[in-house]
Amino acid sequence: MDKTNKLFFGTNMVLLTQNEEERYAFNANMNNARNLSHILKAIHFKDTATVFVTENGMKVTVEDAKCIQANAFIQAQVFQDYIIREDSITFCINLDILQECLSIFGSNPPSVTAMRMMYNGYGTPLVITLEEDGAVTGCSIKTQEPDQTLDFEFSAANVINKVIMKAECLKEAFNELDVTSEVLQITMSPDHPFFRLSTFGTLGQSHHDIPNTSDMVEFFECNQTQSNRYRLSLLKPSVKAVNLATKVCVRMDHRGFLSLQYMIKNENGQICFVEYYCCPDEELENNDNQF
Amino acid sequence: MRFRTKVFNIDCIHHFTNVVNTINKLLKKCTLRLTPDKLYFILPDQVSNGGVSMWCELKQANFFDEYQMDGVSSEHNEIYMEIIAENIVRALKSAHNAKSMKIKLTKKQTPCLTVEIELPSINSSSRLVTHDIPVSVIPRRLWDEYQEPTMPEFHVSICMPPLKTLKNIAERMKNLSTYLTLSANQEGDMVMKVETELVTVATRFQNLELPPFKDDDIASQAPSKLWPPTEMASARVDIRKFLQFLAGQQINPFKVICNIVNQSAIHFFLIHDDISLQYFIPAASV
Amino acid sequence: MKCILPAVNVKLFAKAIHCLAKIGLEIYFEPLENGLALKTVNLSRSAYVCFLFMRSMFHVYEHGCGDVTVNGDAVDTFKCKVAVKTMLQVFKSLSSIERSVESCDINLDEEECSLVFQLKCRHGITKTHQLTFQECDSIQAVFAKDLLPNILKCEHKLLSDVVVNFSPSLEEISLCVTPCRVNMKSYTDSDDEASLTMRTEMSLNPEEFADFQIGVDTDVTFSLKDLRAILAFCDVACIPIQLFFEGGGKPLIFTVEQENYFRANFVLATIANDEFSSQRENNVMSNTAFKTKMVNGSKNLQGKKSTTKSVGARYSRTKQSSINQQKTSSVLPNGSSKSTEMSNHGRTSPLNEIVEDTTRNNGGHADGSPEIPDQNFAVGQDHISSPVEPEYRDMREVFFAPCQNDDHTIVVLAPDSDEES
Repeated sequence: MDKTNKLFFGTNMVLLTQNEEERYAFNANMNNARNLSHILKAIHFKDTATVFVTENGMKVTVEDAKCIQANAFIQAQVFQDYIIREDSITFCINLDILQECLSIFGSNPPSVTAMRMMYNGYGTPLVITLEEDGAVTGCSIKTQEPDQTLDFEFSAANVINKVIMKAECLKEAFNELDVTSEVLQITMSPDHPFFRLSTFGTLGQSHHDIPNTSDMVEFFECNQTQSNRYRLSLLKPSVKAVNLATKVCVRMDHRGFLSLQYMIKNENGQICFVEYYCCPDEELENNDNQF
Repeated sequence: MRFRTKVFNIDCIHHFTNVVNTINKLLKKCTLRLTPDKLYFILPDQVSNGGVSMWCELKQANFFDEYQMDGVSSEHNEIYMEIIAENIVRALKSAHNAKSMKIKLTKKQTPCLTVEIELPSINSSSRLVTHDIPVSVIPRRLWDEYQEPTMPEFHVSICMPPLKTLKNIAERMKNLSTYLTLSANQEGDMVMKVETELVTVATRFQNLELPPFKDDDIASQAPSKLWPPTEMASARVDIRKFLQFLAGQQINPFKVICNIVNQSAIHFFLIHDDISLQYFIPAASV
Repeated sequence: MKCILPAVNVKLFAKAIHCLAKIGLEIYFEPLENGLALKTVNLSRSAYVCFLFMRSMFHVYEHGCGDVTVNGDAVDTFKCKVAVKTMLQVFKSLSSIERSVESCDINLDEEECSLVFQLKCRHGITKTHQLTFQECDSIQAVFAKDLLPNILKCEHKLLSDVVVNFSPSLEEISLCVTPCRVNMKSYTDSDDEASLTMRTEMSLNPEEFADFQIGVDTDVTFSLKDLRAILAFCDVACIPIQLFFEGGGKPLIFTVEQENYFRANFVLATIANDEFSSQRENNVMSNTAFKTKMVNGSKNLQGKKSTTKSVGARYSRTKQSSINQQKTSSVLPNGSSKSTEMSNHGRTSPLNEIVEDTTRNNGGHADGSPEIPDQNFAVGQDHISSPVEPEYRDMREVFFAPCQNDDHTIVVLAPDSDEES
């Protein structure tokens, strides 16, 4: 058997023929699998994720305890090829397995793995083909029926306070949080302390203050003082996101619901977003509210 | 019995350190066999019990400036001893910028392999570090258990892709399953595969080199001669054991040959200028 | 107490906290007139650490009510202890402290009952930690490092270079000295263990030491983990380290000091060894400071002894008087009859009495002179011989937890000269 023939067979596994591609309800490829795996890291705090696909892109959602939800948005443009033959596709997948598959050839530069992802509707597996340096990996991951995801009804119209800052300063604050504290209290106010993270642990009380004048703060719009507590164990996973992000937008609505939006840049310089929603800790919710 | 050796060349010390570090990744306790020409690190055959086995030999002249030994007798001019590989690794850590290093067999409270390292100091004096590594000398009557394993009757023999690539893949696969199936044919294809209820992952390498066996190396009735060239021979192995072997990449072998005995074992042969290392992993039953 | 540490000193302070955290579970916080002392003692009471950060390290240092005097004596300032975990919360990441902290305010308010650390960081960020603490008495180890016959001084790098050769799992290390050689070797307490584990030994030439005074040939065995903690601190301070010791069963003292800036004393218990302790008794009269730097193999200690004989004699007398006074045995565990005298602590926790105090002798030692000024010595002696001295009345008996390792001596906690202004 001649070598070019074998090589051709290998290439085929990734690119497939036109006919084979058409078989799939969803079929997309990416020249660097890390552009997907990197952003999924930011929401990877539970193994089960729900994937929604529309013509605009892919949204991957992870939830915990009916109180926190993380969404990663990967726009269609992040893929080099993006074909969807239905209005929308939804399925559940094991995120641990997906991540292992995406990084099968290693997860660090300089390795660059080309990836194609195919799904053919309810009950079928997610098929992923990856190629690097002539070696080809085929993965077939079982999918499950999609779960109903939570709707936090968080709308921009109800946002009372909003701050946008460089992720760097929140990263330090999040990584230094006193883990013995049950809750993280976030205070946003038009006056001192402007933006404050507080913990109440067995070791004592800590406050981390970022003033509106700090050069880390890019946008500051606080209309009234709001102070809400969130379970630290629920917010802790968002440390994964802040570590990858360049900017963060913190918003609180009239019910004290929290939205943390992280802006994450991929290796191609494209921008993706990860959003965390968290509801306030009910027992303590109103203790410190000053309105 | 006498054994005494000396090295002045720091490159030789680093090279030897590298070899021992690799050995330590492969096994904990090993047998060190000394002959006038060669040093051997041996993990005796445990394949029948489901364990791995290893055989590594080095030419002493490539590593040491001085090398003197007298075996148990003039007729059996060899020494066998059991030693914990990690201890040698730790001892050699001190030798990173050594002026010289001596290794000798000594009798302290117990028999020891004594590593004496002379280090530079801030002035003209030297610092001297001595590590006494306890060993147990293996008596002559047990030597037969440590003989070189015979080359297995493999079905397929193939040169492996870069071990570093394999290591990345095997590390991911380890998180998905306990076992992987390694298959290859005589057309240069090799596949690593894991299969569980939730996922199937298979990585295929193509156009791999085939080891240049001379025809008279292999008997005409050998299994590899009878095996159809496009047929995959495969063995299912414990991923952790496979990963251990992949640590062998540290010594930068120029060729790694993989011999598969269908459904029964894999034999790896790591070839380097100064070192040859063989590693056997038995197939796990399905 | 209210003080402000400038950025340049915050890292040193943080590193000290990390060091204390490697030894003990609680950090004792003692504002003194001349500076802030941070101390700890480990669970088995075999290691004691005291850092004294002097006034000059702070932008502002108000030590509080110590300025008030009653009958000429300064009123005790409020002292407290804080769990190590709590302090680490404030100084968790050394790299981020170095990168971003611009100053650190420390506020201990007795009336408000609060201890507050406020880190002012780059970008206008402020981190405020109100810590839980417990009010407590002072702890002090009594030791007389300048009276000890063996003194070594070297760059910390030398000891780091030694320590790196030893197995990370090794518990204890022995330091063996003679006037012409320094050996450090791994210590195993049973023969069974010795036959299975690797033994390591490193020998150094005395010329590698900036100061090398050996009055008594001896072996001292102490915790390697504690030594590693000390060296980790020295790494940032980057200044020489001094060792003071006498023999097995007697404390080994490490000192790291930058004059008028800060001082750290580490007092480590050593394993008592019958062989060496008897040897020590014999040698005690010749235990005078003795500069051996230029000595090549000379063993003629006797000749040198005569010049400082009186000091030596007093030294031994001092020791005895203190033993009587404290009713504790000098340390000979391992079935030594003396340890049975300490009925209240039980046979299993022999106490080592560490005589005397260093800080008084500080001036005398600063120039590296091995001689112990008589005058200073007399001060120490007064201490010991008159148990009703006010300072001794102040000495708090600290409850001793049962010693975990019978072989370890225990540091007796009594006024430490670090307290002095």
